[in-house]
Amino acid sequence: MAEMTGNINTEVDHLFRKTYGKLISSLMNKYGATRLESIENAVMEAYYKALKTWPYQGKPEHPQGWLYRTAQNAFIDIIRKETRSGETDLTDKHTSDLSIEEHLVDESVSDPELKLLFLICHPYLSKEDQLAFMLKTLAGLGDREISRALMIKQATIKKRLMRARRTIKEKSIKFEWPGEHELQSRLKMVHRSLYLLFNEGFYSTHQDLWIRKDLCLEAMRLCKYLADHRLSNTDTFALMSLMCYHISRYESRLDDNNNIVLLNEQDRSKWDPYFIKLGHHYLEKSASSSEEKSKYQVEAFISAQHCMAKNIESTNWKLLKLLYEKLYYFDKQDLVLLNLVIVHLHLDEITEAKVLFDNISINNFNSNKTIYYMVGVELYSRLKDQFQIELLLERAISSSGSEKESHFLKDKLEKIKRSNQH
Amino acid sequence: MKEFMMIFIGGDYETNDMSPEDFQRRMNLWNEWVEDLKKDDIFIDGRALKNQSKMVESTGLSTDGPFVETKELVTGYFLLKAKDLEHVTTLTKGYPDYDLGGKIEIREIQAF
Repeated sequence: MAEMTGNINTEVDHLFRKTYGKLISSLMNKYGATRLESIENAVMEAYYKALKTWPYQGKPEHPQGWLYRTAQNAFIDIIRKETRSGETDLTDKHTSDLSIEEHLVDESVSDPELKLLFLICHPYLSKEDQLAFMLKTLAGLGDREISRALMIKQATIKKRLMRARRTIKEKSIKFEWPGEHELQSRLKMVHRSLYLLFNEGFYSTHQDLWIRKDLCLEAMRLCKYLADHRLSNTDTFALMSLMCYHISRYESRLDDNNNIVLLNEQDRSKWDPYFIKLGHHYLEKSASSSEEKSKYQVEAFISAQHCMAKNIESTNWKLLKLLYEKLYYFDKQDLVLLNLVIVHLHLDEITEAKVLFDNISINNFNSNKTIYYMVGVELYSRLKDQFQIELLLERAISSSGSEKESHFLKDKLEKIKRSNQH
Repeated sequence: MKEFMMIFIGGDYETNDMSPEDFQRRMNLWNEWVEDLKKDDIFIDGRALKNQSKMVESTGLSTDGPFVETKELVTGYFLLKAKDLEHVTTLTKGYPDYDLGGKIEIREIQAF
């Protein structure tokens, strides 16, 4: 029972993490981007103070407002100590505190958060720093959590974050909306980052469940806000639609032991109709525009095909073949080809599937070799090549990163060996 | 019923290494513990203490602290109502900061 209450609490109450991006971006909006480091310290000080007082005095009536005011006061203290003068005008530009408190209480994204997202995607910041920086400042993850989520050493994450902060300071990057001339290129970067963020959550297989799903939901929260914002374009809608279709299958793509369940084995009754409907809505919005097609739109169309099909048999594989070929034209990734292998198998084009699979290099699947091996197993099952199946499964087991996964693979291998004996 | 004090020693937070989620988790644990003690009518009062301190001596001279190592620093206290020392000892299970090297001293309050 005690354990259950604990779970409920950690599930429900993530106020600190969820308020973090709002606090940081509101303070940046008021005091400028170059003060980021002091702002981060101030927000942490507010959390520290909350931890040391709320358990005794109770949670304040407006916790977010309390955190904002406390962080703001801590920030002013920090700057005064730095400049040794009480007279400095800290404000970057005039903003009313009332509106800040109003949007803090709001569950949705705020304009400062979206501005922060555009700042993170500034061309001065290197692409590899951007994702870590986004997870830190917008999603409210700590260095250790980012390191776990991205499976990159904590020291490297620290370095990336330092570099991002330093760049903002050295280049005096302003906390503002991108200008008309750079809007489209910046929007492209924003979409790319949101897509990466979502995929990190969706495809990673590590144990911290809350991080995984939260990365997805964080990407969707930001994307939805952008989609409803004046700065959005067709790609924003397509990306939002794609995320909706994917998340609708979130619960059914892993079994109780956290193993990947392939599409043809997923329980379609578990797919969330709400998100499928929302996916349709945004895809229609995206498709109705005359703007050029993009990889997001093609990917959304692919997902839509899966979501609309009642089962594997009635899926329109012919159309999917065209769509995956189109997708590969936009995005030359071997993962796309693996999907194409599966499509060929469903169309009984076994020879084509084998030729394609033989051309895919395992070396291009750094973080997720299991997917490659599983598709290989599918292919060789159709070819009835017992030797290859066992070989691929053994390789999958030795390259598997998680204990649960390798257990699952060993189980599969045992079953195949046994059925072969009979 | 007697009155007791739980004195929390050490287990201070390295704030630069804590994520918002870490703060949250630890606060939830403190909340649960205090709530449990309140529910059973054991909790009278409690506070966390800041690290900065002053020491005043008979000469009137005062010096700025802390005076002990962080791991020996008093970080907070509870005032409780309980049967006896044994009873209070059983209540220490909910303390969230053992993992940070924190420990608890229990003292009975001198009654009339």
